[in-house]
Amino acid sequence: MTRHRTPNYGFIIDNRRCIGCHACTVACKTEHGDPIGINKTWVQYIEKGTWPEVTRAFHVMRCNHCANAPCVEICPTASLETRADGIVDFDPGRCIGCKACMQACPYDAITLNPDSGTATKCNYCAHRVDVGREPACVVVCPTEAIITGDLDDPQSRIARLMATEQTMVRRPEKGTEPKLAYIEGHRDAPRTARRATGRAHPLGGTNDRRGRPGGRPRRRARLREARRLGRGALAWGDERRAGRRQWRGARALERHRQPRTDLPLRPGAHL
Amino acid sequence: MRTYDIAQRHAGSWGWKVSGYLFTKSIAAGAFLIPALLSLFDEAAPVERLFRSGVPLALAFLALTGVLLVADLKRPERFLWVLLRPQWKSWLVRGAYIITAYGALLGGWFTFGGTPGGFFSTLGGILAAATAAYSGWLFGQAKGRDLWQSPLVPVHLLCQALVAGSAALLLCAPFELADLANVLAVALALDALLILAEMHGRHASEAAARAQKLMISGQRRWWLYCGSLAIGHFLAIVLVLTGEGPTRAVAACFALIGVLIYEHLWVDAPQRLPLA
Repeated sequence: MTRHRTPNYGFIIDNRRCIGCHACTVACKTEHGDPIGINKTWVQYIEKGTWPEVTRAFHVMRCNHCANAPCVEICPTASLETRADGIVDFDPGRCIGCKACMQACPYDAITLNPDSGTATKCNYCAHRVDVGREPACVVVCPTEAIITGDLDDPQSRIARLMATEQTMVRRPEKGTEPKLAYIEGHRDAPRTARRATGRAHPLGGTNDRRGRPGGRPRRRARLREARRLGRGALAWGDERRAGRRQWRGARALERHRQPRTDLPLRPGAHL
Repeated sequence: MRTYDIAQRHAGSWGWKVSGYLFTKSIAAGAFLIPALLSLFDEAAPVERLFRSGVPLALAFLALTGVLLVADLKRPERFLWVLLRPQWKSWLVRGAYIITAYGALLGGWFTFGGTPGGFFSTLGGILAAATAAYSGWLFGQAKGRDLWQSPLVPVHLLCQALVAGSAALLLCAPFELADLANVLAVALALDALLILAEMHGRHASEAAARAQKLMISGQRRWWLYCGSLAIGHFLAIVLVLTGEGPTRAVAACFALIGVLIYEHLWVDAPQRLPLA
């Protein structure tokens, strides 16, 4: 006789495969009909190194569907709840818009929908999962970098990856027991992430004259890079003004920069 | 190294309405807590007169607290769901019930009167203390903001309620009770010590330490040290201990401003740090 067991869903993001195409972001927005400015899953670009030895890595961010979710605990109306299958689901019909969950989430994964005045977040495409389909981001990912499934089923791909690969989780010190793990997560990604999307030149000003990051950009180098890149996705607007803004931003960033500890190495078996 | 991120704007999701709510709640709680505490030590007649000023004051500021809380909701028409569809683990719900119970007691006292030192005075004192302190546990549930995780926060909020309550009573009823000035001075000294411990003590995490640094650097430093500590605490202590009548009223105003500044900085600074 087959014994039915409640699954325990989770995510693995395989950064070895991610190409930073944002298809997951677009698929998520389309699936949920989210307005402009609402991104339940998004991709951080992390650039490291000194030109010409510069690397760019991608980091997909979203709700971690924590086993011990602080957003569920603080929500006054049970608008957020942890389902039996481990999905942290959200019911906008119960939300009063108190924004407490946004303060409780250590991963910045909850945002406010300006149309409805309620909070919103990744819900693991629960409506799709309930009918046996995979989340929209998983289906659309061209490199199969997003892996979902039952963490408690030893035969599932996600459980096998957890058992065999070295994975990382974000901010484990918070005790939230996140169920989103990264393969080759970026330990060096700063907490103080740049937020001026599309405003700054992606390369100019990253290094000072000794090759250290965060220094004042040399104007000539900045303009040369601007010309070389032309109107790239991250380089529109007035390059010179953008460069100055960027330098000020980098200085401010440096003042508060701390080594990132929120992505420690962690064996996958813990989940 | 550089990271490009989306423009999530969560920085001010709890803004001036939340810091305003903390401030008005401090006055509402302190305006009853002070007479309730003094009724244990002082003569009945002057404390009773203090209750007569304190209860309407507490009621008015509790109503203002409710208005600010509801105004901060993005779906204010659903505010009653906090009471009607409660999720009991949330301190938002527990706090809403504490405030409701406190408001009911204040309303009863205002309508039917009460006896200083009696059962309702003690119960009101407990509810006032809970009203002041519960926000500490509520902010503690916001695990994204490390500065709010300190176990001292409920004690600090209680202390701020004593400052705000005694200052407001000193403004409303300056001649009812001589002890009020001493209470304000002691509460201010204690509050200043707690602020200094919070700002210069060691924190459990990097994010808390960075939020603390944000409070004691840049423009916020002037608001904290000059506005809140120097004028709102130390100058207020000197004025309240040395002055009479109008000078004490000025000291009370300074004390209230000092509490307001600190509460706003404390709510605002941790939210300036990005989470992702």
